Amino acid sequence: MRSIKLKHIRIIAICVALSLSLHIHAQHFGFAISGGGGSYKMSDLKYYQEFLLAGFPVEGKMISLFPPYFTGGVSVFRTMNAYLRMGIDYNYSSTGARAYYSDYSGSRSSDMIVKAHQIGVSANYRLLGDNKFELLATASLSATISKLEISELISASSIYFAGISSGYNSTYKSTSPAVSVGLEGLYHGDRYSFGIDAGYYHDFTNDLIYAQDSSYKLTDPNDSERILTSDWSGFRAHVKIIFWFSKPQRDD
Amino acid sequence: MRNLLAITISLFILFTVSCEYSERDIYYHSVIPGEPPSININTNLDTLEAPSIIDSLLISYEIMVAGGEFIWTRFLLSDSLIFYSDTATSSFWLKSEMATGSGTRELTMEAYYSTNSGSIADVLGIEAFKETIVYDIGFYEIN
Repeated sequence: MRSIKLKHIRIIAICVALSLSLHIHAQHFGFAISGGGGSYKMSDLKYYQEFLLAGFPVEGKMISLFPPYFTGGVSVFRTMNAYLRMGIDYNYSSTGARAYYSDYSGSRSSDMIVKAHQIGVSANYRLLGDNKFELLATASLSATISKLEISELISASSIYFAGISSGYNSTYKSTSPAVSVGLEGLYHGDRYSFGIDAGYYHDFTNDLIYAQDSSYKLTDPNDSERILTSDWSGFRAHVKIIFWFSKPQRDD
Repeated sequence: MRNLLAITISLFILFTVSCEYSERDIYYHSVIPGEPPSININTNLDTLEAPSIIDSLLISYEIMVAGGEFIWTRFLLSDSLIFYSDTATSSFWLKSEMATGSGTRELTMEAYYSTNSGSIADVLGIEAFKETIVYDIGFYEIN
């Protein structure tokens, strides 16, 4: 299973390299910036955060559990013909979780922040439209580089006994292949285009490896054979602006 | 065009960095500690209303913590420790030589206790509250 994932990553890397070899100074070249929101599956990390909360010595509360959050990116692309646009994409996403308890005497917290850098290639195929409006089908293949930071803290004060304050931080990383499909609507201005896109992102996931020691992985606390993963699968929606360095003609 | 692109990219980078997920909300659980302990102090003079000591004075105390636990108590005479105990009921002699010279001194009793409030400090076994009582004691030097 692991070797298959590594093979996928190699394929993605080759696709990115091939795309980079395109003549980016060619005509019909564009640059896009997008920002929006995404939902993230994160099944394993939700499970792990629930486990951490259950380990509180007092009854804490889950403040947040990997909610939908901001995602944004940039891409450079060129139009291959009247229908097809291909490009290289970079996207950044982050989300997290927090369990917390506090009272007059102290506090206990468990925080997770997980970030992803997604780099890949994309293809946009024009389904319908004219010089002003376009509807395109989009698909992308990417590598997702994830970084998970877990921090736990407990503190309690006492006017007689020694107070308690302890915590630990740990960082895990993973790299996994991903695909996405969706739709994009564009309104074309003179040298700019404005658009929205929405689609589904599927993360094939990979093991979360301890950053300080790659031989150690984040495992299921109830099943040490099962390695936990970050899963960025979910729905995404963006608004975007495109800068055309050389606007394509769409008189076909 | 180039300026607009540069500004847009800069704003995007700033926006992206500032939009990194962070959570600052907290959950505060209101825990109400129990009542202060009931403390009885008696002396062989039957009162601690500004007693005068020429030789010595027996001080007996009893500390009762309703719904909680007594931890420790100590007595200070003008900030000097003269007696301590982890027993809720005990006694000790207050002697005239414990004070330097004649005059009124403060006898301070500090009682530490926990109330089993269920707070995080209580669950970790370090919850402690302090009850303080101060008495004025007159000392007379024997010549």
